[in-house]
Amino acid sequence: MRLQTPLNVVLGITIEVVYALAIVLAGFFIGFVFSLR
Amino acid sequence: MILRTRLEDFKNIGYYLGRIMIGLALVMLVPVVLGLAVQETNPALDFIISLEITLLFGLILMKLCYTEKDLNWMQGMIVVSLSWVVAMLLGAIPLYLSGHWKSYLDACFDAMSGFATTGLTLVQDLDHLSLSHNLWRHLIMFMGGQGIVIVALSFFVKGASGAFKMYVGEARDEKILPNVIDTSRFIWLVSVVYLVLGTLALGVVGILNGMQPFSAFFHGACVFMAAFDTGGFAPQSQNILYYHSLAYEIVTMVIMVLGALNFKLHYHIWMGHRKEIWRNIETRAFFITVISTFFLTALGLRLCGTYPEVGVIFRKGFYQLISGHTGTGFMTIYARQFINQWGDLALASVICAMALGGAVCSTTGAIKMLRIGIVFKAMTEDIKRIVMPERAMVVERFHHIKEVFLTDKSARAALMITLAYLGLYGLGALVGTYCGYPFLQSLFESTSAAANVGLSCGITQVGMPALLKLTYIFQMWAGRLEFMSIFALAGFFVAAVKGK
Repeated sequence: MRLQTPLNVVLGITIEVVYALAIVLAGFFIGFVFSLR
Repeated sequence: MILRTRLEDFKNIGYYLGRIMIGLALVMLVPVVLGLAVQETNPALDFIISLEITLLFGLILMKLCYTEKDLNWMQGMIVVSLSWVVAMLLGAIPLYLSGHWKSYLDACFDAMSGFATTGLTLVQDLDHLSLSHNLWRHLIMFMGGQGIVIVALSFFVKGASGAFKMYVGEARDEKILPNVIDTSRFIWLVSVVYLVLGTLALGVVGILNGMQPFSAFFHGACVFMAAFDTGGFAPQSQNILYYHSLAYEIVTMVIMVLGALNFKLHYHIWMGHRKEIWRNIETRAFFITVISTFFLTALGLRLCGTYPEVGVIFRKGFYQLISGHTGTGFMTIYARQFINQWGDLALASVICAMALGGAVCSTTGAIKMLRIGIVFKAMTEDIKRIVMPERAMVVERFHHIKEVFLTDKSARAALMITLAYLGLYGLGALVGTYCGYPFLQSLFESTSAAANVGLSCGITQVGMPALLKLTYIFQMWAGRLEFMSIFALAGFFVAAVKGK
């Protein structure tokens, strides 16, 4: 069992932010597709 | 046979309710301190009066109902459902005293909207509201997001063995750690760590946009609390449109998504199980539903020709969509633009997104991703049973922290809550239509209230009928508590009248 160390917390926060940014980027991509004429 | 309610039930409920209200009174100290620090004497007095009333109420209840007995399941559920109503009534006092709410009902509407992390508001002249009252609006949102009872469990109801019953009653059926008090504290740890990081990020963006440092960080803290707790209140009447900043919008979008994640998922990721974020049924379902609902929204907007450029479709279309899907309710457009510019397809897509919500055991409302995933898996299983040979064994499973086999019991529970939510959305839509609003607009506003979102198409105004205000208050309350504790309260009253 791994521990809730500061490094794990920092990496955990990073991966969560990456997930959130991936959703935002996907939204931007769909917006881009629908803005093409 | 229904057993008659006993005096002991009332005493137990009253005692724990009193303890929770004392917790609420102590939180009122925060705006008092801010008010005195920034020389807002009258607002500070509003809070001192409210604090005294709340404290007195809690102490009298504790004295009258003193007991050392533990809560049973029904009592725990009733404590939760009553706590939210009483917190609304007492939390609305300082709002009403400020003079920015036309009636006490309007103040109660905003207090319930805050506690239930909805974000619909009836405040007047928000731009000139005192800092203390503004902070209180966001504090109640932060408390509601964590759960009023969790606030009490973490700090004021230490060692209560009936804690788990209240924890479950507050729509958090997932225990992160074996001890429910430790679970509550972990929820606070995540929120406070993100509070620091989020306020810093928003504060820096605010300063770079030209805001004064104090104002940038005050707005940053308020906006963070509303975004992470998927609430939707903002310190200015124009909501997030006030900042006119792409960076601010991106940071708030990230915070909203983080707030829509399951606290149990946060725990496992912070423990080092980082792959969980890509494997979990909730994060996968959330990704898929965001993409599909935005695809439909963008198609609807394209058909209307409303936002032809990529930047605009992203900042106006996607922002409202993600805000609705996470249950936040931040807006970068004016309410009536939904009706005048968006068209029915885009509007219907946003209604779907609002109805779905974020993860279970998060701060969001609505049906939630785990249930959507389970219902989808149950449908897949049934289709496979029809298609495959009769003797074939069909077993569906999904990944939620660990591999879980789909059972009829879990599918039934997910479907029951899904149906209850759909009924609640429909109820508000019918009342709205009865009050004279078009059906689609009524459904939009009703879903927003019941799913604790806060996006508005313009129905929520000071002048709307009192019946609709009361309906939305009920929807926000029932939607936030996910029905069980509301049913328990109804059962309690039935037992008091008809019990033997």
